[in-house]
Amino acid sequence: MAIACSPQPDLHRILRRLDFPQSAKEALACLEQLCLPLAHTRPPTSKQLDYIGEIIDEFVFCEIDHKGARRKRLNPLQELQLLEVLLGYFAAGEDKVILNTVFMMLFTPPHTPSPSPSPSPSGFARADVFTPGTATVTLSDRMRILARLVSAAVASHNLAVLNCTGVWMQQLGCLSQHSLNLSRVFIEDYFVLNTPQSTISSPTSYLEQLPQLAPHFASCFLTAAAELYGGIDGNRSTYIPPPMCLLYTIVNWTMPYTTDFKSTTPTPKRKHSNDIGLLLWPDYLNGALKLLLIPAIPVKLEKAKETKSAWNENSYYSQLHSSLLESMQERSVLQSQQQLLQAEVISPRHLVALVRGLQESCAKNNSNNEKIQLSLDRLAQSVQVAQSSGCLYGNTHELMQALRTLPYNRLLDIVVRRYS
Amino acid sequence: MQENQLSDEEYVIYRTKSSQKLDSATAKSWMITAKTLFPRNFAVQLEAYTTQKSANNPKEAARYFSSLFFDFPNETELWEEVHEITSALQNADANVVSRFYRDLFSHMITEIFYSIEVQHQLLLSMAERAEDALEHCQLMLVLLSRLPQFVDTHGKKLVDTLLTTEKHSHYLTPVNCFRKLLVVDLLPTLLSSRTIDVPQQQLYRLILKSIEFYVNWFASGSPLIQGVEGPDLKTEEAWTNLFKIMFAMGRKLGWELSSMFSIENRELMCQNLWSFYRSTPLGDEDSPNFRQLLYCTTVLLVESLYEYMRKIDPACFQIPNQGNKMENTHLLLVRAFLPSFDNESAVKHRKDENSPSHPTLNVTVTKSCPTQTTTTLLSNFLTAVSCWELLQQTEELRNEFAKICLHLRTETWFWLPYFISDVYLHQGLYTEALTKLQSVGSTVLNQQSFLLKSSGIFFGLGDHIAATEQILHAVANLSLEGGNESPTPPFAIPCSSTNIGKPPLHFMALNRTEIVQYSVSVLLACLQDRAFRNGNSDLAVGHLIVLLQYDWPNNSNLLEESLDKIRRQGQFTYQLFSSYVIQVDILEEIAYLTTDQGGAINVDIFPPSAAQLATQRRMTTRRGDLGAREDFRSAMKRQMSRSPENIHNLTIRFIVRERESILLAIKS
Repeated sequence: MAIACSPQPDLHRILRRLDFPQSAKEALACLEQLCLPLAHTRPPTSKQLDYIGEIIDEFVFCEIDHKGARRKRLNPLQELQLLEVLLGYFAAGEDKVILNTVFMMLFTPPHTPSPSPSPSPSGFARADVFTPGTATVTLSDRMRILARLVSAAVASHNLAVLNCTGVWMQQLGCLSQHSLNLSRVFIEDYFVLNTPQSTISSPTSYLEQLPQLAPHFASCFLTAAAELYGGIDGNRSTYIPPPMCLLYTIVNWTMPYTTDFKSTTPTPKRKHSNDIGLLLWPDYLNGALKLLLIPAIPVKLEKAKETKSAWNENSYYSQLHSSLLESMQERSVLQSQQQLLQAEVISPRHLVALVRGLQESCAKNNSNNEKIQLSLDRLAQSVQVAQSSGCLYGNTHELMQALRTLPYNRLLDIVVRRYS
Repeated sequence: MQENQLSDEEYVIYRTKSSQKLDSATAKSWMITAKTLFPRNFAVQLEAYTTQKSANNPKEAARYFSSLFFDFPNETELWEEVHEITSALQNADANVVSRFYRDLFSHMITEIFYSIEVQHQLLLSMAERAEDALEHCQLMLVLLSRLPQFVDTHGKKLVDTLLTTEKHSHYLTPVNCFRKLLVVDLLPTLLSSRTIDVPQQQLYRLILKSIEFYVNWFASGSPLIQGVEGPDLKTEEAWTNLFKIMFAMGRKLGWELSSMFSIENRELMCQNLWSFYRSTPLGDEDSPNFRQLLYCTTVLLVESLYEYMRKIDPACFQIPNQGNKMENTHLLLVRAFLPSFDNESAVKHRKDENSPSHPTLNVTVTKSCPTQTTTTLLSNFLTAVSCWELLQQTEELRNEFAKICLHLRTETWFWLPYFISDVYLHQGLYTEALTKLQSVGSTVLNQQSFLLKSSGIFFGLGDHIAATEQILHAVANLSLEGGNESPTPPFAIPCSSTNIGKPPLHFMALNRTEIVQYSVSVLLACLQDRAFRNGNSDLAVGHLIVLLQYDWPNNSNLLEESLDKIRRQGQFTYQLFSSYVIQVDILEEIAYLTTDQGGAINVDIFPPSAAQLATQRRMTTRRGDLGAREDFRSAMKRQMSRSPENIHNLTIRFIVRERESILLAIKS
């Protein structure tokens, strides 16, 4: 492992003799050798990291020339060639740990923000985000290529890339800016820009199986997507409903997901693989809760009143809601039986924030009492089931106070009296 | 009622119910909320279950039901549901409701946290709540059939319960519902458990209970069992089931012989029994070797015995007519008179004293019987005989078998002496056979059977007069065409009897043709003994010639012998000739005798005509009397012209009308 321990300029020389994309391909093979000791044993030294970074910058992404000066960005054709090389490399890889390490090296964000568990990433221009075709505009070149790589991986059924992406998202935080950005591009590619024809074609049905095929990626994406559309912290601008087909897909994913969740977890040996699900579950629940409570608010329903699509949409939300309640119930059983981690599941603080947002929306739209009542019913149901199943962990005093400020709802009243 | 007047519970139930009109997901959300909000409220929990039930969703319903079952054990509505489940489990209705309940039950097992304990507790508590013993036992059996792993826990107790309940029940027959549950439903499950420990004595008792049940059920001739609604068993399966029980029983008891019950071939089964008997020291009455031989032989005996009796006399067990004509015909085992039959020595060399388990097949069956039935009939008979003989081998076996007979109340098997008589007949023990036969009298056997059977036996004993009397009687009855039965004349039984070897036997069909056929062969056998002795026996020879016509040209050697005798005597007188001899071949032979080439025998066989009487001329074939010769020829021609006459009727007429003459010939 002489190469890895003492960087040799020879490698640069050899790679420089090659043309792109052959050079990128060879560079990846060399990277694997360099990452081998890092993946299994020690943390890398900064010297090693710099050396690896140089190879990546110069030979994989072609961002700098041999003197270290910035080069012109790859043209679309070259970018496509690079995607092909990357897809091929990961598909052929065998050692998952090595692949993850290489992936992390390749896509380390330019200036790593600390993974944010906060559901409200700052500086997120929501209105811009949801303008079709704009998802990649604000991204760095490297992140843009990553986003394209993920979309291409779904299209080409490249599970290795998706699995690495899942790990990557979790490392950076599913709610981190980078994960959200990535998810945004993915939503745009698969749920906004897609045509009705492509809904029926195979990529979509592949999409439906993602939770089984790439569970890690799917749950990260789900969490991020729920956050993207569900955030109603009050400081956000207008609510933007998720695309119908995204909603549909989420409903489809979550129903079998809860079932899988249930059937696989009780086996103690498999506990480890389900840690992913358990870790991400709270975040997903938070996001999904928000996602759910919004549609009852009339702002968006005014547009599609009395149409079939509105009915469909409403039934999707109902399904999402019931599967959410069911998941919480399942979880309570699991916890008591398996003594699984007692970590925070839904923080009452998050719910308080949610209630405040809802309160404001209600104040603005007090005309449609029916929709508000539906929303409040769902909120009350969620609080009740979360509370009884132990998913709501922490001091709920503030939450109960906040719930009292909402318009009157009989069920909510029953629930608040119960837990005050 | 206004919404705001409802209590919290009522409000939530109200919203839950009304949400069902919306979409299922909304309804489900309300359901989950209601359940978690009021976990101790039965109405809420029941509603959750009912919703799933009305949506015909057994899987979800099973989950709700499981919690209902453990949390609210005192609610009547719950027990109504439990009752529905258990009754659905007991029948195989194809309707939606029944199927729902069965699915519900099976889904309970998929519940991770309650597992089969729900099913177990559900059935167990339902059984404990049962109002009567029968229902209790039925529910326990549902439990054991669905969850056989609990047989060790409940099996033995259920056996005791069933035995006690049957004892205290009002049923007089073993074919009752409790016995059926014990033998048909419980025993196979009980015996299939490898771990259950049942005392040996109890198992022996259960063997007897099983035999008793299947024997009586089979004999009843009806699939109906007292106290059981609708036949769910077929009588044809009685023996298969009994054999299965014996197989499992033997395995449980570690019997070497148990494997024989998986053999189809009855002869091999007998061989197994006999070789076990010969090679294994049996020990005393309580030793396992003795017991297994006793029980296995008994089971095989009753099976073959019942099948045998059913075949020879279907009326025996009120077995309904199965559409097969042959099945209805009464068969009768008689001593056979083979056409080429010479004397006893011919049979003697056939028998093999050393292998009673391999009875030589000197038994024939009437041709009117289909081959298939013939084969099984013979197999049943020989198996039954072989088992019977085995059980008579030692004093201990005889005694213990007698105890079993007492238990099975074989004294009520009115046909059993009949079989025993057949066994004696088969063994050549005529005196014993006759004694047995006489002890039954004609109460069981119809008179015809009795006469025919005893006739063969008398012949075997050498009492040709008695044999002939029986036959004459039987044929006389026949001519009465179903007329009233005349009393059987008493007959003396000879005191001594020697085993003269196994005689050939024959299963004849009890119809007119075969009765006449058999009667003729008995008479032929008796007559030939008289006809060919020294001295004048023209009457016997004449009768012989008449009877030979019946089965002509069988036994034609007897005609040869008769002609030889006539030739030796040089003359022959038989006044009945013109009335009964019409067979062309025979007439020609007799006519030939009168010719010069034939020996010019003086034959006095035609009564004188009116003209002859006037001229004082006897129509003889004496040489020189040409007129008489002409008369003889024309008389012969007359006889020949009668040849198309029905020989069957003619024979009956002969035997009936010439009864005294026949007896005279035998007695002389």
